[in-house]
Amino acid sequence: MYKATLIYLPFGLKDLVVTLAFLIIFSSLFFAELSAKGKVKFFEVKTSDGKSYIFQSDYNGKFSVHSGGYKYVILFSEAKARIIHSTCGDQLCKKTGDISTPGERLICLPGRLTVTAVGDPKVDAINR
Amino acid sequence: MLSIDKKKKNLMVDFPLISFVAALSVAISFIEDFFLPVIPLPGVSFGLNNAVFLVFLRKLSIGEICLAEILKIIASAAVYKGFNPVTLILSTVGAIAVVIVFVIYKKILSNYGFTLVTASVISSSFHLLAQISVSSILLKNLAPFSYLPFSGIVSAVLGFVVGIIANYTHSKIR
Repeated sequence: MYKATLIYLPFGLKDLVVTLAFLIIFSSLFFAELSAKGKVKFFEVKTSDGKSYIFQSDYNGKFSVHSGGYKYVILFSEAKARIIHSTCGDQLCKKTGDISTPGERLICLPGRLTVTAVGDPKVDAINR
Repeated sequence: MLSIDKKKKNLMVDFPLISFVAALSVAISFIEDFFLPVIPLPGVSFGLNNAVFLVFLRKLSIGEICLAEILKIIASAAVYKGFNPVTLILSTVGAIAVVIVFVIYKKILSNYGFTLVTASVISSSFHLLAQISVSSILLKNLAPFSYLPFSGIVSAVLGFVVGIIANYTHSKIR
């Protein structure tokens, strides 16, 4: 236990500095990512064998694809994309839900499938 | 429990303690899986199960920590994760990153006044970073790194909390 004024804390100043350093690093990455938002232009689907499929943001429909030995059905609707069917064991890609913002991704690691929302970054005062 | 020096002298390995640490770690990891929708990558976790290793960090030698981690990975796969190659790779990589951090803490940081809180924050952050890096290599693109910022913040905060708990528990066990 360490003493700080009249309060005993279960950590030291050095521990706090290390924790804050990591928080600052991750927060800066987080805000850098937030600043690159805009409208979705298209969705890119990449499979394990290197094939890439592009779907415009106004596309509405389902797309069935095989990747890494698994079958996926991706639903595109109202500038959003989500995986509605997957034969992989974890089903984490289905649980991710919709992606609708540039930079967001749906990833299925066992099948090595990625669906990326791609768009123009926001034009801010500095860029103008 | 014998001290590490006595164990080294008699070439002993504390198998009961290793088994206990591994079993408790598997149980915490199982509970942790219920709260992981934030990172939709199989096998990627915040490393909360490392709290058990932190509590016994000063009692276990590096070899014993490695054995406990191996046992934890095999037991997790056998109990609920399954022997999926991707999950095994990610679990192994996470364990390697954590062991490296523990070695650095035991050999260097602990001599400069850093407590288990520091070990916890660094181990959870590097555990996550290592798993996301390997996921990126497996996918052959940088997509998994998009999860790093938010999950990194959560990992650092949880690592801090876990470190405090480990510090407190370690002081009570002594």
